[in-house]
Amino acid sequence: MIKAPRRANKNAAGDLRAFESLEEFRAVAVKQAADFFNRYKPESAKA
Amino acid sequence: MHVFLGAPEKGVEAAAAELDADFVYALIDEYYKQASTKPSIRHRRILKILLDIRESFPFGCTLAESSPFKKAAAFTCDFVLKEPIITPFPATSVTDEIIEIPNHQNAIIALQLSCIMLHGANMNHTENGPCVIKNAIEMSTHFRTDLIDYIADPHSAQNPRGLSLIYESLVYQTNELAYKC
Repeated sequence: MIKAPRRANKNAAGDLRAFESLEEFRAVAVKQAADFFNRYKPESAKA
Repeated sequence: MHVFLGAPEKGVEAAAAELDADFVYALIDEYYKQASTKPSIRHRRILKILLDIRESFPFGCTLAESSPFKKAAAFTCDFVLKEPIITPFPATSVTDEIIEIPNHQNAIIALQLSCIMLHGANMNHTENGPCVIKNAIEMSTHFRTDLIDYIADPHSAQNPRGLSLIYESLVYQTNELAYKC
């Protein structure tokens, strides 16, 4: 792990997103991955 | 309810890291399934990344004191440096520009997971009170490609502060409330 910064702004502490379950996360992941590959799939591989 | 990279009480860090790992694996599974290939993974490294962030947070504060941007950046940078995913994405799944980026697979997974985890994150600003990041990060196709290239560069990955500022700027583009914090 890299130790980097000299100064830390501690006045905006917060948590990353909370998920009720892994299944809830999977639903988001499926949609995101589909969007990603729709955008980045090479033209030659598109049907 | 599980908070990715949450700051649990002392003594349960390993259990929290294992729960986080479930989310990382779920994202890897989905991306490689949609890319029609199976990844080879250095499993111990995934847990080590999630433990190291808790034990040695790379900013001048503790994990609990940090903003969601710093958490996401610390995760992304360490994921890229430790390279847990060996298998690149196949050339049939992503553009040549991405395929040509060494270690693109770890940069993509870390970036995409961070984008999910920042959407819905919260901040408790000492002056302006709490706010929630309601809107997802949006990027153009070209910007995301350049960001993947930047993140995958080991020199960038050694400076999580730079990426934290990029994440913060991206969130502010689509979240006026966050900007006011």
